[in-house]
Amino acid sequence: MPSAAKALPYLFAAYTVIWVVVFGYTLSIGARQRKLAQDLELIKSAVEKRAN
Amino acid sequence: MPQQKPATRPSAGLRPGRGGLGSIAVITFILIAVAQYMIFMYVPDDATLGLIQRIFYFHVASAWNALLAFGVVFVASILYLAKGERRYDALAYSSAEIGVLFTSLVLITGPIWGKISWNQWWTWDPRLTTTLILWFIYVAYLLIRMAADEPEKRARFAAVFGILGFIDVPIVFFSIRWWRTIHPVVISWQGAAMEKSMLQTMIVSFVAFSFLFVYLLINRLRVEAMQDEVAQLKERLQGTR
Amino acid sequence: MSFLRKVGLLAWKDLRAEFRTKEMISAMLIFALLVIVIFAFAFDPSRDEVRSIFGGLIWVAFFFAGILGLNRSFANERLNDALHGLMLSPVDHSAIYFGKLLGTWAFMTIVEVIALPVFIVIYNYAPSGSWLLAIAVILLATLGFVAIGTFLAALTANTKASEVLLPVILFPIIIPVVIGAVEATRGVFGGLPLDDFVTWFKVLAVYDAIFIAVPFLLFEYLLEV
Repeated sequence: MPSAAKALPYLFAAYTVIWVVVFGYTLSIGARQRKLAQDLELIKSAVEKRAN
Repeated sequence: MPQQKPATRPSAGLRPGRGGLGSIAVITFILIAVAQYMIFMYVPDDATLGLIQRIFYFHVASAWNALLAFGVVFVASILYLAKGERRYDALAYSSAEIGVLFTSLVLITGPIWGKISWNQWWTWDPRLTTTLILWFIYVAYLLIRMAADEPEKRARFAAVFGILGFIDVPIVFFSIRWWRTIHPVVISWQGAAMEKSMLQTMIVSFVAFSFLFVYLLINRLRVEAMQDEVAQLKERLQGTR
Repeated sequence: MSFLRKVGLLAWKDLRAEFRTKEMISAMLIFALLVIVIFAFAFDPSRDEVRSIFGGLIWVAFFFAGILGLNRSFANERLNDALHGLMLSPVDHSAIYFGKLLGTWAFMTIVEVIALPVFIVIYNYAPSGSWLLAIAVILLATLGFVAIGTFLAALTANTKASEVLLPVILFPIIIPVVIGAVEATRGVFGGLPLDDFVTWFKVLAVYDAIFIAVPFLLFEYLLEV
């Protein structure tokens, strides 16, 4: 059985990677949504202006 | 001022209410936190593999999510070719991206485990190797989407490849397995019978990751829906010019 | 005109066009030879281990050369919009697929039959085993490669970056063919009893059947404009 002292940093690294990647992806989706929401606002106001 | 008619949403069916998504987010977070607690505090060390075996729970759950995601790509691709509706294309694309994400996690955590329990980062084990090929197939899927420029053509080509790739996966797996029996697998992992607490932790991890998949997928789909809306409004803006 | 005859005519058209210039076949052949020569610098070609990796070497060379041929098979038809002409002709679109498949299969087999003796000579390799089986491996593995290769070439020909894209999307899909071809070749040339490698013939045959059937069903979706 591999020693726990040797394994611990590896275990820690593995779970850190999982958390960082999942959080990173979630944040990137959130950022994309925010940017698109801004674009939508902008275009909607442009459409409205043109309609008047 | 005349009342402006609200813009029709091109893929309104894709957009779940904010409230529903919020509760999924909360449930997902709690479940993952519970799974994480069980992995570090509740389960005992594995009798033969020791501490490092605790990687197993999220590693296998990631693999499950990847398979789930690629299954969704397959079904959505067939539905797209049959019905030609944009929402199936959006579903296939979103799911493929998430699948590649989880496959990457499997490929990163696998060698971390291997370094400790087999004393080498990589072995050409059938499961590990098939996962690597799986990753290549779905990265190829994403590359096709980038390379085809017209949206309709992009969707059609991607759907065709999404079907082809999924059919290929079992053939790849079995050919690699037979290949490895010719070159005997030097190191193998004995699937010891799981203890009850381990099984519980595994199940909680699976459920937590399934929720995570659904949460990411819905959010990713919303990005697609918003992009469609922007594109449609832009077109209208140009039309009135 | 029967379906088979149409397929034959379409393949014949490609073969005739190619034999007029021999542009593609000569490029594929020279490229295959170059790959093998480059391998000789990657390791010591005079060692005995060459015996065990020879099957792998030749197939890497053949598949890489095959990519060149596949990249041209539909790209050629885009000149002067010839593909539209083909689609307007009174044939099923799947006949276009099978015609292209047969043409590329013939090109690759010709390249392989010429290149293989050269590889054997320059590596001082002494293959044993039945030549009939060796030919069967070459035909089956090449068929699997061009069946899916022709299909994906039709896909990439309609995208930007088509020539870069084809190998990247084709190689992950043909991993079973690669394994099957290499292991079957190793078995045949190593003079092993048939029982030891008959599995790989089955793998190749099953793969060929599936990846002719699926493109046949899906080809229509690639040619829609």
